[in-house]
Amino acid sequence: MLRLTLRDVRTHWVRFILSILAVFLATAFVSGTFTLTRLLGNTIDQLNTSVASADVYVRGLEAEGTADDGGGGGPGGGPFGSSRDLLDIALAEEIAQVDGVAAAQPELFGIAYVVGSDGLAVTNSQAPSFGWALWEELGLATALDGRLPTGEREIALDTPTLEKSGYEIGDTAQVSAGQLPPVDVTIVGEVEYSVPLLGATILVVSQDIAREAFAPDGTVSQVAAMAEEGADPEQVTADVQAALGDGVEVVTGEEIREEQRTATEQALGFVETIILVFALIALFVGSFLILNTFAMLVRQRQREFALLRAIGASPGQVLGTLLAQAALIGLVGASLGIAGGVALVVGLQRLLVALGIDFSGTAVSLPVDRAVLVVVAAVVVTSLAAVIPARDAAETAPVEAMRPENPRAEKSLVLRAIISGVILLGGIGAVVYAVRELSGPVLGVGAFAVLLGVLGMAPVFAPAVLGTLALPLNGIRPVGRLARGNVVRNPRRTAATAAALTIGMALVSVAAVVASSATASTRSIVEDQVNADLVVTSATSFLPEQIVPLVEGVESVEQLAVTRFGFGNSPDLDDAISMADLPLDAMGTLYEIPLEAGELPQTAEEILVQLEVAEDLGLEPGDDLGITTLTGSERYTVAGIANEQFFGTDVIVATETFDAIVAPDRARLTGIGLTARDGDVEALRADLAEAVRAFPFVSVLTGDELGDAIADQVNTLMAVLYAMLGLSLVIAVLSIVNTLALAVIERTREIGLMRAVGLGRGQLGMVITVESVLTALFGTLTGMVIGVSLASTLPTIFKDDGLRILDIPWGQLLIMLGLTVVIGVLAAIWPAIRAARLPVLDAVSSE
Amino acid sequence: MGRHAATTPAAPSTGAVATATNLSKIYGSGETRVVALDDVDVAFGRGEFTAIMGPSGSGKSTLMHCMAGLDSPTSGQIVVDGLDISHMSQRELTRVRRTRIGFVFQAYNLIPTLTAAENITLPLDIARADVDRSRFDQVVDAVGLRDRLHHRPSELSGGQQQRVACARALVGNPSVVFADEPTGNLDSRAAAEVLGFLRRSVDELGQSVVMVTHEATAAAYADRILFLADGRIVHELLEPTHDSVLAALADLAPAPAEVR
Repeated sequence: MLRLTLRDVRTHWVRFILSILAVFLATAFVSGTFTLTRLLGNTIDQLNTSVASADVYVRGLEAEGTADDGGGGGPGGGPFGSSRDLLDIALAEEIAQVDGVAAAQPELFGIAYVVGSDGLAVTNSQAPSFGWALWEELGLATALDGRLPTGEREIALDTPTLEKSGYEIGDTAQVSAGQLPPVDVTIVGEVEYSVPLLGATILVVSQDIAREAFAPDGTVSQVAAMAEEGADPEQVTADVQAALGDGVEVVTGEEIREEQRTATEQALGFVETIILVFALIALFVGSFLILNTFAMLVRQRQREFALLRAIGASPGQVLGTLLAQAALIGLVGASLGIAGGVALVVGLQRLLVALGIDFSGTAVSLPVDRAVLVVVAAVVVTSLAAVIPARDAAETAPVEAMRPENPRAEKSLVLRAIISGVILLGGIGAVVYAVRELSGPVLGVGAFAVLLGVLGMAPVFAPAVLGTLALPLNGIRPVGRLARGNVVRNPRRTAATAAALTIGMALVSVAAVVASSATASTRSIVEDQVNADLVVTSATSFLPEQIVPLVEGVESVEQLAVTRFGFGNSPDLDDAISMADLPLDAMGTLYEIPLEAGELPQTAEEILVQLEVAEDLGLEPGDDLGITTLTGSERYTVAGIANEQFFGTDVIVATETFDAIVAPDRARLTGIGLTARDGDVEALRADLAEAVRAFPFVSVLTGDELGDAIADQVNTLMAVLYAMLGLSLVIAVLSIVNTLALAVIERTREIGLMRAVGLGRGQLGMVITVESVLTALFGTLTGMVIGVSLASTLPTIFKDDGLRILDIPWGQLLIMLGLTVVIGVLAAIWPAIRAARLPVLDAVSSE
Repeated sequence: MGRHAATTPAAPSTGAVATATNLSKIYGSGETRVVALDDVDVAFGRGEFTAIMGPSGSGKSTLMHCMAGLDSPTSGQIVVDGLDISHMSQRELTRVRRTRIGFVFQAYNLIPTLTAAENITLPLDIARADVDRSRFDQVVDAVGLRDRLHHRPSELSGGQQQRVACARALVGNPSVVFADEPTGNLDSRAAAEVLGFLRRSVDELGQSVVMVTHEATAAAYADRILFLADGRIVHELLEPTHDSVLAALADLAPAPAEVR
């Protein structure tokens, strides 16, 4: 039996090619994902650990009861600053005195830009620019030319930055760093970093600049220390802790690096999970392809199986043969897929390096356990997909071998229709419940059930839908009637072929509706809440603080509101709270803040709390909330409960309050809203553009344009989503090609008859093409109906999360339909060619 | 290895609807060379029912396939209804098959997704020609399937399917109908219906029918039988009866091998 199995696959390998291709695509995607995230992980790890290469780190204690946000160690302590106490910068000298410590330096790091000779800030496209007071003992940067900064007002740049700046060593340039207003500095050296920068720009600045820019209050997040030669880092750590007492936390460099690794893994784990979901979808879609392939193959070879059974093979053996073939497909496809996935990432790495984003430091590899997992999963999925058709084959009665060929009647669809109908109704019920109770998870379950139910019932309504779709074709003789007849005669097969496309299109429709609705909602939010004439903002979201004084200096400004973002801690809460700030006089004027209850704050002691948070804490207007400040703790009065989505933070406070709570180097500038004097918006805009000229990534936008800009970001995200769904669509198309090709083989005699009776090759090709288009349209329409209906419930359920408008992009959906027709035509090409090539005589007299 | 010399059959009395001159069909080369037809000259009469008989491997199917434009000869000339089809392109042949020739095969004659009526008009649909309604009715009534017109092939018996195929072959008023073992899969009653219909189409409608068969009963319906062996025409029988056919077949059968 084994020989028969292998021989069979070898002889008919063309039939299996498309199935193998489907498995290949899905597994390549999965293994590519694993490899890529491993590469990213290794690279970021390398970056972090090289950067955190000191022996001992001293940092403040975590604020009472706060959850660790995993941002310890390394420069900057996480993207928004950790929730730890700050240290006095003078502590570094104390630490340096401890026995066993060779040197100690406070971590001075933050956003910094150098302005090039063309007057524009030097950046590497979208990546931010940082400044760092590097110390030589860490060995992270070596001077290629010149030296590292030692004196005052000195900087050193790496080679690409130096080139972009248009300066040379010895020239004077302007640097904007942290809290420091732009100063003139001398470029003293060209450096090379020993770690990959991943596209970010890093300036080495002298100590004085670093202190003034990043520790203007004399406080820092961390101090790093190097142990003397031969000293044990653990011992030194203990000694330093003893010397400093319990007010600070002292850890070894190794612990810091470990924390970094964990944080990186967590972040990447999240990304990996999302991509895996799409890969699994692709695999799911691929399994339909395999199911279909085997169903058709079994049907074609019914007599062969009957023969095997007649000569004594048991049903188990026949089943075993088919399952073995399926497993073989899975094995071959997965093995090729793994190779393909890794090769893809290698190619990607080379591409990124060529584009200037340095990933070359790490080798590309796929961990063995993941590879094995992928192969096993593929084999299991393919075997499962073939089980049902294989079972049919195994149960063929031997006497079938003797019977002359008869057109077979379709097996009854009743049972399948009933079960699917039940699932569908259950799904619809769940969706209705989810809408009423505003439950996201229940919606997910319901959606899945709806999809399964519709897929199951597809053969039932396929003839009706297809018959209607093909009505106009009846007039086209003979092609139309032939194509329609072919597609309607076997609704099971048509539905199975189209299933893959149904799933893919359902997902794409959901994505399209969500994107469109999100865009509309965002515009609506911006329109409602932003009253300012102009907003200064940045697409990269790293607005440098240096622009504030520049903007404030513009004369044609009537009113100005600086908005920032930061985190605070509260003795009443476990988690950190996100905060946004506005000047008191801007609340309700430049920016509208819709309130659920209460009023806007009138004094700095009053704050607004977001609806969800207020509900969680049971807060009402008039209650108070404690927040830890830089000097202790204060209780603030809740003036009102806000239900707004523009700022989206837990709490909105006045500017003075924000200053009291959030340290300057942990605040992030998010935007500046402005009104124009005398209503002359154009003049203001021109003046502002001039003022921020040095920062090309800073934009001055009207409210509408701001809405557009955010919408663009959503669209970019959607593009990525579509790309990932594209894989599933490719497999869906393969599914159609596969079925058509196998159908051509199955209908060899019928085709021969038509050719004998005078059907031209071109006409034959047309028949197949029309069939393909009809099948594809069926799949897309079904998928769209499911996708759009389900997505329509989202704005109701997620209204309070910002998705408040339902906007169905009919134009896009129409384009997708048009695309489907194209897909149908393309999918038919190869099968049509095969059919046309069938020599009439062979087909007519084939056995 | 035939014992009989090839004979050139007498020209048919009514003029030829299809002729072959020096027709040869050779497959393969060298060691695998097979001569299916060996320099055959033949003419099929207009308005006649001609049968072609012979053992397997005699080339009878090959002869019909070449005459019908389904296969191309290695050498020689074939003329059907005044058209030299031996050197026509695929497209031209297709057109000829669509408009001038009718086909009935042994099995799998009908498109399963079309009704009987749609199957009958299929060649006309393909040619996008108008259906002559009176001809359609004539043919449908002749095969006796008026009440089955809207059934699918799966709902028809074997005999009924073959009758539909016959109707299809005739509805377009072809010059000649080629039938390849049309009764091979049928029981005797159904076979008699089909053969009777073919006979009547010749007698009453003036059709020309060429039928390949291995059954003496079926061949007896013909006006003239050509016997093939090893790629050559070896005998001809006019006005056959069941008995004369059997006698001719016995005559042509190879002598039994010597039994030790």
